Amino acid sequence: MIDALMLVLREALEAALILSLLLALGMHLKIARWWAAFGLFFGILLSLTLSQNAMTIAESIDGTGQEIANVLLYFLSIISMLLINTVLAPCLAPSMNASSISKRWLSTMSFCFFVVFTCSMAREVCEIWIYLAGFWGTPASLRPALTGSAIGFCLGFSVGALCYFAFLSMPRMWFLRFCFCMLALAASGMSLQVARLLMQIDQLPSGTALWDSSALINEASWIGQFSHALFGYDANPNSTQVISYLSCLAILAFSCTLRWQACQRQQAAHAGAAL
Amino acid sequence: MWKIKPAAFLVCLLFPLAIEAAAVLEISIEIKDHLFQPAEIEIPARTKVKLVVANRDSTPEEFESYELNREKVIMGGATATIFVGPLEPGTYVFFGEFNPKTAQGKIRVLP
Repeated sequence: MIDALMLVLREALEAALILSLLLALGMHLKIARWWAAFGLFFGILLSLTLSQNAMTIAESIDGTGQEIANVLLYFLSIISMLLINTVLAPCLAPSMNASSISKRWLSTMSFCFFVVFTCSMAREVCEIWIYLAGFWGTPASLRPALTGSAIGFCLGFSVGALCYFAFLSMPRMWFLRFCFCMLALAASGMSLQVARLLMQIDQLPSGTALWDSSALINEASWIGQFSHALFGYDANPNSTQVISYLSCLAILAFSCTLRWQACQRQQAAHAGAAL
Repeated sequence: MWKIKPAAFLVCLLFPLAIEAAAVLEISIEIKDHLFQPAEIEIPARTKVKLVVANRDSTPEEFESYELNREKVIMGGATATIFVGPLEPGTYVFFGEFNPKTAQGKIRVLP
């Protein structure tokens, strides 16, 4: 039961933290919450489909199907999170107002929320289905596994709920800046995972670890697991992973600068027209 | 005047791949009764290794290692390939996330 609890807690925590961050951001920006319900539905549906076809997927593309499928899910999440942050960037300055985001951009953001949450659910819940399927033929083991999973799931989402209320209690500008940083770290953390998956199937060079911070924060510890869930913490990344991480941050900085300049030009044009 | 012949150019392009392919060491591991067999592997330092993990159980297992930075679900009765390394000398622990109490193993990287 403890094994099931720990496994499900780890998986649920990642999805719950992403959900709480996006829900709070949606509340602060007054975005309708349709994406959460749809994300939950399609995320569970996709996770069931992936787990039902896990064997076929794993054996496809010369045995690299599992990694490729995960890379695709991570990639969709990364693109969506980068887009959310690009739209959010101009609102981080005191001179700009979050309500200045146009309806079109708010719709784009809610669609990105949907993609991030759906992919997160699909990735994390798929593993839970596969794990539980192993107990299906043995009712004596299934019951403790289900109990442990239910407790793990509730604990994970309780932490998510606590985080959500903490995010809501933050002053709006502080939360937007905090959220921007968290999404940037989460997207970069996912790009680190993409690099790891591609190295696992020998599609990227895998060198020796650049550093080992496991003495400081062990990945197996609670803080390590929480940091991994929040921003993809890796105690011993290699150069390929670090390049992937920094590239993601560089792309974000570039897209935010472009959007910032576009907003500045727009504001100047409005000021000129008013005069 | 230099003229690049397409065939020679292709050989030059593929040469590093051939060297890399030759350097990969293949090691087989089995998962049976939620145990890794062998549970301990020795490999040379700074060598890329192809781990071929065959799950002989009917239930799925997840090969996981924080030190090796690897994670892969292996369905019951399936075989999976995981590339690791090149690694510095030391001991790298791996385990089965679905049965962490029994499925444990380590890779000893020799200097």
